[in-house]
Amino acid sequence: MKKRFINLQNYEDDISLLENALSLTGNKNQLLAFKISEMFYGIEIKYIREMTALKLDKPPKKIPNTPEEILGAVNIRGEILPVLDIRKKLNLSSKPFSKFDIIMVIEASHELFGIIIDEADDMAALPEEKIEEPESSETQKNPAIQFYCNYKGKLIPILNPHLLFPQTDLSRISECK
Amino acid sequence: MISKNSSLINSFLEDLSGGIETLEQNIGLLENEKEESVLSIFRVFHSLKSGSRILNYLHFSDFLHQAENLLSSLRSGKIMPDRETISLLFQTLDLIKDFKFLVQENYTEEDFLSKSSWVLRIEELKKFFSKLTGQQTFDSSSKTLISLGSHFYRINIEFDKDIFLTGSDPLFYIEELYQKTTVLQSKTSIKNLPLLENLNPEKYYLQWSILIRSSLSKEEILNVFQFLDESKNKILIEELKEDPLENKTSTTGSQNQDFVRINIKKLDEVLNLFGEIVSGFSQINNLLSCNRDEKSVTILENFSNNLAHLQGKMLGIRMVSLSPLFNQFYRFTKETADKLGKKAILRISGEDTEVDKNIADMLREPLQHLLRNALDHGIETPEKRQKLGKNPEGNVFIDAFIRENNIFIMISDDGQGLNKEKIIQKAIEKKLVSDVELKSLTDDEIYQFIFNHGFTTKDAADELSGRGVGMDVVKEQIEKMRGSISLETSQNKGSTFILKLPITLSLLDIFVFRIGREYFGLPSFYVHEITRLKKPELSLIEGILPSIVYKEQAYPLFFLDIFFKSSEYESKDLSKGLLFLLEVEKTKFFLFTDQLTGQQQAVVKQIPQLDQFKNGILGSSFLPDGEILFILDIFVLFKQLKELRIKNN
Repeated sequence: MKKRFINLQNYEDDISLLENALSLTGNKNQLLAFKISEMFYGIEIKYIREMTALKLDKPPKKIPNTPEEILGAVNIRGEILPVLDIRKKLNLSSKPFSKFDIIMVIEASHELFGIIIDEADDMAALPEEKIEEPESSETQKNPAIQFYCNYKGKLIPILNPHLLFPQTDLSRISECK
Repeated sequence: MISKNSSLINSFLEDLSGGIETLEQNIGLLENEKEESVLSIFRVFHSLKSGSRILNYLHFSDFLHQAENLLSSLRSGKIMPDRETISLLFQTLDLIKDFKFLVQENYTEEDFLSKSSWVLRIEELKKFFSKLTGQQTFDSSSKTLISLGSHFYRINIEFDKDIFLTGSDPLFYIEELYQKTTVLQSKTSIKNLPLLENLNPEKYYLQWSILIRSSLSKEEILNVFQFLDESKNKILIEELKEDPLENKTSTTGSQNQDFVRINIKKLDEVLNLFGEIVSGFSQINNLLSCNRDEKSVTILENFSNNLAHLQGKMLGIRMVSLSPLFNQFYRFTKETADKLGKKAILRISGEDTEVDKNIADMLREPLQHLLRNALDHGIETPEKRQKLGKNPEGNVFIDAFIRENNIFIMISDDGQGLNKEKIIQKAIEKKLVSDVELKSLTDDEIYQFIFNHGFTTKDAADELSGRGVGMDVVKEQIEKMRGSISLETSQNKGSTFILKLPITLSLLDIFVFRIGREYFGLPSFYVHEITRLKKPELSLIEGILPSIVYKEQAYPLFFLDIFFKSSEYESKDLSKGLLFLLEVEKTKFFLFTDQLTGQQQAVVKQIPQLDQFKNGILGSSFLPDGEILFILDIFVLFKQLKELRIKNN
């Protein structure tokens, strides 16, 4: 069983939320809803390794020769992880890195990386019925979105953790689907 | 059921892995260091025998019992460690390996017995055992072993102080134990003995602690004491997992040390956190560097010394001796030579050299390959050797030593050496070189052709080697470990392959340099020279590529911003910056930097997620202020340089 760390200084609400999550560790069918640029997204809890507010004074260290979406590398307790800004992938307008950003560490396809989110919202049970796509979807299908699901009366997109990290090798993507 | 007890199974599996390792080391040594090896092998068989009995793998424990008998015969000199015996022991080792695998797959005794191929295999080996040991299967030594039993007990007895008043004699019980079981050790404690003036001769004060070995069950032993009043006489029988005395002698032996198996991941986490502490400390140290008094200087210095020591120790945890790896090659050499119809002896030295666990693991394949090549291409057939006036039995050597923070491993043979003509012929056939170019090549450069993909001088591929997938893979594997391979060869005298490797992959000696505002690390392994040229002589190699003439030689010049588009030099004035002369694959080239800012031992963290981008970053580490530092992957730079050369051609 993987241990999930909590390292959210001063984020009282989130702490209680994550304590809740901790007590649920092992229950695979949970999802966590969070906000990026005022939009709700969800991700299955089993892929989240930890959430941390690093309070960095400067943005993550840029890694040479990597795609733009990789914001840079951060040091989390001695482990160096690439951090992604997935706003572009989700067609959201970009926002400069702020010291209050939260890094959600995701483990998918045996890889660890962080994504930047604004805030965590709440946990919810993963519904058995996965909604493929809302009828009124205005844009074409985004591969980073696995399916949609009802959360607090709204339909929110659930991210596919395997397709968040930029890949040069396309064969791997089909494998993860 | 006992067989479902997972902790028992796990400890048995550990015994199995440990045993397999010991067997691998010792079977090959049987010929040379008979006594000690026989004993080690015997111990393994013995402890696995009781282990499998406890876990109800009776057929296997029975099998090991027979294997034990073979060892008894070897020990007494009734049979000799000849080829047949050794091959039989190797087959037994294979069987134990498979057994371990199947136990891991949750095989029960019934599963094993229902697998006819397995039973057949065991029966086959048993037949050989009894053939070799002859009638000795039931010789006296094994008989006593059976009656000795395989259970070990520690019995603590505190007799009733008034036992004499009840008409019993404590000695009677002790003697009965001696009759019914094998007493390994008995001790009395005089803890309760009063001073002489207080001693009552009618009372009994002694306590006993007795170690026995027996085939009897706990209950049966308890029966010895059945006439004693339980409430007044305290008798405690504790069953022991293994022979407590045997264990004691083995811990004092130099070969067997106590080990704790640690998950390497856990260790890495500890190392990571430790790295954080070191960098945290150096930040504090920097902060306090102004206004500090004498006392705090001493404290900080002590602290920093201790940290350095601790770091050394921690990295030492990952270090393992090369001997388990090397010892496996005795068997490999023997079997490969047999298959090839050659005679060869492996001679190992420097096996006590310690390297990082990762390196030891990664070395197995390339070394095996080099050995196979030495036997196949190097060593001649016995007839040919005799004709040449050599000993029909060839020699293959593995030697390891440490020099200047690098480990060197040399694999050599006293065979025929590389055939230069044949290599040239193949190189031309494969269009690796033109006739004209050939003339300017040195011997060394010609031999380098064998590291090309698909290169073989053998006319037909066979089972063992000659398929041409070989030296290029070896080279690749060595380079993966940030090492290099070179060779020396001499006609009819043999060849030597020299591997040069870093001692550890996690700690790297690096130079830190600056380009504009960015810092990069560069493994000092590849740095040949660092120099500043007041009047650099620029020329153009092969037309376009800039190069610098240094000590009458022209070396290509590499600017990092060709590769790292985001980097910007402070100044590209060659006389202002610093030049690193790097050496990769016998090619030297210059890397231009703004400034050298330091040299440090860096704990390198790989970032495997980024491997796919081939971005020229080998891994990362930290600067003293805690900032992330990227370390350059010289091989990627070198490939880039080669591509530039090709493009410009």
